[in-house]
Amino acid sequence: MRITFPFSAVVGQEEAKLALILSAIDPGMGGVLLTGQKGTGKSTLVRATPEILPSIEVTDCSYHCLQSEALLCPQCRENPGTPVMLIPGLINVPLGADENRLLGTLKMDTLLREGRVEFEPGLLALANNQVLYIDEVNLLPDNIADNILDCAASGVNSVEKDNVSVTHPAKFILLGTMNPEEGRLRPQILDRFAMSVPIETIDEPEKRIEIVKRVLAFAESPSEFCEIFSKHDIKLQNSISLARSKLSDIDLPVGMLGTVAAAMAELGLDGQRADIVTLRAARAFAAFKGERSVTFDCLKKVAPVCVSHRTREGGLKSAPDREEILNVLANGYSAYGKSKSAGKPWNWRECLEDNR
Amino acid sequence: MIPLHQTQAVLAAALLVVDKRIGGVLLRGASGTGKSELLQETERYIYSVRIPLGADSAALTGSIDLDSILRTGQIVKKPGLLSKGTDKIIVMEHLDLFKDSIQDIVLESGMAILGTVSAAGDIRGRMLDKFGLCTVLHTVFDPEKRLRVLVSHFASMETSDILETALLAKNTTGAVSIPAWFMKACAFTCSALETRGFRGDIALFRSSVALAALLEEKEVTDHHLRTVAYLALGHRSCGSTGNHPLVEDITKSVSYAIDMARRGAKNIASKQMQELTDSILSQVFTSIRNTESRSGLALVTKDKKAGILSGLSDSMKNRFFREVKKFSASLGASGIGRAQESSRMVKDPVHGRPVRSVPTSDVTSINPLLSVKAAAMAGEKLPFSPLKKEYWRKWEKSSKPRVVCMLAVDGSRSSQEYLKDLGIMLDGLFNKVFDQSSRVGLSAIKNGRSVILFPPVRNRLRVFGRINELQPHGTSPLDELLALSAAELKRISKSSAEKTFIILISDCYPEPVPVGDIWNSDIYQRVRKQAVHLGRQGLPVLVVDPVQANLRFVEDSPGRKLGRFIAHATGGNLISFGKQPQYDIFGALKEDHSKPKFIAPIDAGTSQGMINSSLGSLFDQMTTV
Repeated sequence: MRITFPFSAVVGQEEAKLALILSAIDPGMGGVLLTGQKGTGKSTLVRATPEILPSIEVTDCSYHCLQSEALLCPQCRENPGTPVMLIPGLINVPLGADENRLLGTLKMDTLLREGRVEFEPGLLALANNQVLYIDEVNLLPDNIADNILDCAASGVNSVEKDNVSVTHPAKFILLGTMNPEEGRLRPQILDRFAMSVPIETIDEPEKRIEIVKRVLAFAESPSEFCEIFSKHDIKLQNSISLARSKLSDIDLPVGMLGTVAAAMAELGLDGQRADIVTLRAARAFAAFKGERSVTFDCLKKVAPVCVSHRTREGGLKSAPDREEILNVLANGYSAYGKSKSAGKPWNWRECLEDNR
Repeated sequence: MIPLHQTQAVLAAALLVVDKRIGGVLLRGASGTGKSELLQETERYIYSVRIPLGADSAALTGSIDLDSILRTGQIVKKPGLLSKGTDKIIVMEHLDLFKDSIQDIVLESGMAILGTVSAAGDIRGRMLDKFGLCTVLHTVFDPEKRLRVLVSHFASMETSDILETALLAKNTTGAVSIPAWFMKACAFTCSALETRGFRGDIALFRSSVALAALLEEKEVTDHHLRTVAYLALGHRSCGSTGNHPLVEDITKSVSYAIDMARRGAKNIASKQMQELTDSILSQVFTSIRNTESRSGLALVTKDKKAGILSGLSDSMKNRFFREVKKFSASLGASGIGRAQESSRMVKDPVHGRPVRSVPTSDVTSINPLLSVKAAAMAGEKLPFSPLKKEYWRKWEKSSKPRVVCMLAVDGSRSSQEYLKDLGIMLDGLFNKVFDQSSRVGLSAIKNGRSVILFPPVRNRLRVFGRINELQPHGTSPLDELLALSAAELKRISKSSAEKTFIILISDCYPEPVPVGDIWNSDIYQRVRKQAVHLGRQGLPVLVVDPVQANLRFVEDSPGRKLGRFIAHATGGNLISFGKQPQYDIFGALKEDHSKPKFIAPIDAGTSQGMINSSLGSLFDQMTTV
């Protein structure tokens, strides 16, 4: 097996690393998009991500079903498989992949040899409970991108074509990389990524020297190199695993919800996806740091990566920059940070009365 | 979690649960506004069949079961998604991303659809109209409300019984009693908005009834209709333009329709009539609000030249008032009681005429209809209100003069560039201004000689169509053209009820252009003589000069001078269009055939203003000749 460059051995890019860690802690949050010019280490980071993912117990079917899930794959529905440990891997969506390869299709082999109709799982099935990676996401054909994002949002892939009718779980961590020089990404697709981090070339000479050293060492003897860094990766993996288990216990104070709500409202972001993602990321961050509740510092840490790629006023206004995000967050905190009241719940009968 | 803050969308979804016959619900809006959440939540309460993005047409309609052929050799039909029971509701997320062929199959299945379209997504008109209800989910920008959304998202404590209630109400729509006026009100609303097709009527009716059932009410009321109106009609194509109606349009139309339906009207006037009525009523309102006196009527009636009617000629205004009075009198029996009126009649402090005093401190509570009626009965002439259609028609008919006119088109080379658009412009103008039975003829210069191309006929389209075919030749004896046109008019016009005049389309530079003193040249003198002659006969000439008007040298040029002379001598008018606005006029006429242009505000300075003022003066001229 090819040895991948260890996650911890990547120099700098702290924000990107944090985003990847957060999405590993809370995979349901949505994907991470890394943007940057060529040779900045985007792909290296993404390819190293599975190294920090804790292994999980799944069934031995071809969809790696989690037994705790409500929706199981067709195989497990008929015949529950035996549990095995899965070390999550990286499933790459090649640029030339077509809809059949992605969604799954009729299995030609069994059809011709055995005269049986069987479903051949696609990349989305393969990626269930693993990482799905799209390189050059801005160059992906529209229909492929739509399908992936639809599936990423719902966690379910249902195939109704070529005489097969299959519904199976497809929950994965979506990672994408792109070089903005090659073309823009459609705003709808951009918005589906929970976090987006621009990767910049590191200019400090010392760090550059360090990078070159590490790359050379890795090329010389990958296994030896990995031995040095894998203990860091394993440590990270353990803390991610711990954070995952604590995630549901993290407290989300009303004041923090209010802070985010006010800040995002002030930015004028379309929809409330940014609010929700920011809070989920902050919660994951709090779990990662071993805190018991989300604090303002957590919000400040995660907000830029969660918000900086969102469209405003239907795309008429440019995306907010870091300074603006932190400013509005501070405003929101001073207005709502200490607030305890969550407001009155909606009552539909009253709403109808108001219309009158 | 139900995105309860999206009240309209949640209501629409609940109505679909109550009665899927409303024809489906479309949720539009930016991402992250709660479309998908609502969709998922609603799916739990309906029999749904979700169509995934990659589905092919065979999967929808059904196909031959491959498995069974291979195993047993038998041909068995495999049911498709759409054949799994037609009482189901199709659920389609990101409707705009589906291929057209798939959309067509879904449309043809006739099943109700619950769908979403993102803000950037485009949806075909055919698809859009299929949906009974449609609503746009907006991002909430109020921090408090936004906080509320987050609280319910994270604490998942926000539950609502709306969909459960809807499910309970599912089979109770039949128990809702429907008053006689109600269906009429639905139909009136749609006809006031001029919605295309009848889906709007049906959706409006069914969803109002579903709302009544949802609220466990025994009878469907105007409140239900008002609540669902925008949901059911906001996405319909209306009128000749096919635009979607605005909220205000719908609100107004609904109120108007309910009012008319309750009064037992058989049909209602069109939207244009309603627009006119609305603006008159709003003026009445403003006058009442602006007055210090509590009996604001005097001020309403005082200046009948003001406002909306200013675009009409005096004779038309009088006709209008007469009709209003007649109409008001016909309403008298069902209106306010006599005793009530007589007791409240006081003298208007300004004119000393009797008006009805309104004993209320809040002037906005004055019912302008009652006020107007009362004033009309007291002999006041008032601008007012929902005329019945027959009155409107009558007025419309009598307000448009019947004319016989000759269109005289000059054959100079400069006319080549505007001839093409002229027909369209004139056709628009004629339709607006003149009675259907008016006649128009066409004379032009052909090979240097004036000819009658058409004697005055009713089929204007044929006449105006011929204008495009005219070939300018560079010779234009205007005197001959005018004389021939006048003779033709004299020959053809028999009834004195018909007004006659000539429209001369020319820059008034008779060609070939004479050498030397142009103004005193032979041809110019002949044209002037002819103009004076026509003036004596009482035959007005409207000179339409399409040459650039705002240049000084054009104003002082012999051509413009001659044009002015002809107009002045015959009692007609000179209308000149600037070069740029000239094309705008045609544009405006091509686009806005439906709008009543004769109420054109005069706003000089802008090109639109120029057009309006030019059209306005042309109109005034044509109606008063």
